[in-house]
Amino acid sequence: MEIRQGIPVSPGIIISEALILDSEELRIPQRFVEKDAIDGEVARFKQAVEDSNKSLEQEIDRLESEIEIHARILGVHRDLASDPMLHSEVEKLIRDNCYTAEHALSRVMNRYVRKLQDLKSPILRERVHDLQDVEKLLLSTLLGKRIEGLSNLKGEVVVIAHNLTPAQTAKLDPEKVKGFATDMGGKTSHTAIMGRALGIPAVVGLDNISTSVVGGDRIIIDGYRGVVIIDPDEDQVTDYLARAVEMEKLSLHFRSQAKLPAETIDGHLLEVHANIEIPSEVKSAIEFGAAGIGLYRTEFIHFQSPTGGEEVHFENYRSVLESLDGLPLTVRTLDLGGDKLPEGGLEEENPFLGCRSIRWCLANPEPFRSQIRAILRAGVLGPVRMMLPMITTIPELDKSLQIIDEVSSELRESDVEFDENMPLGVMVEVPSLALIASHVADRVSFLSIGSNDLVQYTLAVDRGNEHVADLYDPMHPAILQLISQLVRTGEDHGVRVSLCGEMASEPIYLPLLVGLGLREISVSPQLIPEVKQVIRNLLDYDVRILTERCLRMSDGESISRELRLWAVEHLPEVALRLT
Amino acid sequence: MSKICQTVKITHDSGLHARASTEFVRLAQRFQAEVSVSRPEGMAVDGKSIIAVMTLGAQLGDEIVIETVGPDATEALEALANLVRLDFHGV
Repeated sequence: MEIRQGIPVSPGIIISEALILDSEELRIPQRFVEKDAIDGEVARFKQAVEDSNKSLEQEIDRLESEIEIHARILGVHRDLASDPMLHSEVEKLIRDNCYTAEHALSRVMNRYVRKLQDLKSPILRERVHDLQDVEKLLLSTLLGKRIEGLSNLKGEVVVIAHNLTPAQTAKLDPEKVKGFATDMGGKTSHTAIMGRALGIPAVVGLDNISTSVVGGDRIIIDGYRGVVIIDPDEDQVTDYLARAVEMEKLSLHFRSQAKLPAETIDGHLLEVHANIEIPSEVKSAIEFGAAGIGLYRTEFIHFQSPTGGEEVHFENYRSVLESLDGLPLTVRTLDLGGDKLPEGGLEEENPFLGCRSIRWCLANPEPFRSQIRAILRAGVLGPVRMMLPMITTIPELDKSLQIIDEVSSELRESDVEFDENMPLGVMVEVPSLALIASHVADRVSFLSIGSNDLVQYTLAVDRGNEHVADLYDPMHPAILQLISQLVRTGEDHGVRVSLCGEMASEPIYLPLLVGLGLREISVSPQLIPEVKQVIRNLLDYDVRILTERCLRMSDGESISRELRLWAVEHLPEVALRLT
Repeated sequence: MSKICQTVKITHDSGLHARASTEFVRLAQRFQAEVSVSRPEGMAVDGKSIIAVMTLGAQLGDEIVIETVGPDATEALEALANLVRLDFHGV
């Protein structure tokens, strides 16, 4: 049994079998054999080595004439697969522990993968892939017809990986995947977003969980507290099962009240919107009580069809608006770059400070114009707002508004129907823009605070880097000052100010956000019921006093502590989750 | 039968990387003698196991100790030490 602490990024509790991505990608269905089957198991392993070597030999012969370098790599694989030490260690594990050949092999390989990863030489560290390739080859030979592809798993699993990529999650069967745990990542990593999109628990920043767990190990993932237990004992399993039932009851309770308005006890009405990535999320967003879509991320449309242009965008918007049935939709224009690289994009030293988002759009006006056309046209099908991300200067904003103007004229001249009065807004994601917000407010009709990037750029912390993840603190007083100023600027100019980002879905932060005067937030769909429930338990008068106290503090840790204490005292249901 | 050993310095740019390890292990396997390899003051590993030799992590400038024991120990030691000195025939 081993307990690991990571960063909780998607709530929920799950107890299930581990599936290791990267090294395994094949599921080991059985881990132990009967004592009298041991000799057979050893023989099975030897046969698999022989068969694998035979197929490697064939491949080498075929390649030797054409591609010598590949043949040489496969030669190394053959030597690895025939390694006498590997054979004796696997045999020992089978005999001593009654392991299946697959399980024994995985354990031995894991140990050496770890050793290689710890080496100083980067060239040798890269050989990890060769070992993993050999492991995969031997495993697939051993499993033979029993191979379960990632997309058609037979049983439920939790996925353990170094760092989940969109390409990997795309291969997974969402019906069978019940949790994520990764070495890397922060609150806003792809793993976090996918975990919340699938509504399954996820914990990230677990250091080397992917090499500490062997495929088939029993794992508990506690997405509330960020705890992962490898190979739990029976008492822990019983405890967690009970806790999971309690939490499920609580979220059912929240969900049953999801349609009630998000109104504070003293009558201040808030709007809670949903952040979505694909049109099919709209349905659950509405079920969870969303007042609309506050952030529609459109990068997926671009990835699916980089050259599809206007019509592909329009079809997606039409489909979202149809499901929304009159509720408002805020479309964010392409936010490529940073951690979402465009196909064939630039190789940059420092992509987060590079040609990303609106900068990429202004440098590549054609895809940008196509998208704007699609958004403007979609405006006749329902209430649509257009939002520009990552603006840092007023000339950049003016240039973007001018392009929107030009596109509108084109549509008008060619008699295409579009929304002439579409509200335009910007995402405030960099401190430079927050500090000149009054100039921005003169030009647009809404501001949306993109807190993930605003925190990252204000604090100079890469949100995906686990070495500095503890410095990524949305409660840093500088962030609260910026939000407070933005809300006041909005009030002075009669411009709506909303917040979309992870910080709005943290129940203990909500009283502060309401106290700062925010009246519109946007969060992941399945978090809406709890967010609304928390808001309904707040007294605006109370949270304003709390907020004034917090704004006088000098560090984020004290502010978080204050908010935690306040929540325990005033929000019993939230407190239940914190224990 | 007694053990004999030799210390050699790695002069290959990439150190004892995958293909260099392969060359070393393939040569070691041609002899009857048992072969072990270690870093000075480190644990000795099986010189006929490519995984073991690779995980030594020996880099350019590092010294390794080759130890042999068995009927053809002298020939084995000489051949293996030479291989390291000749930068694994430039693989």
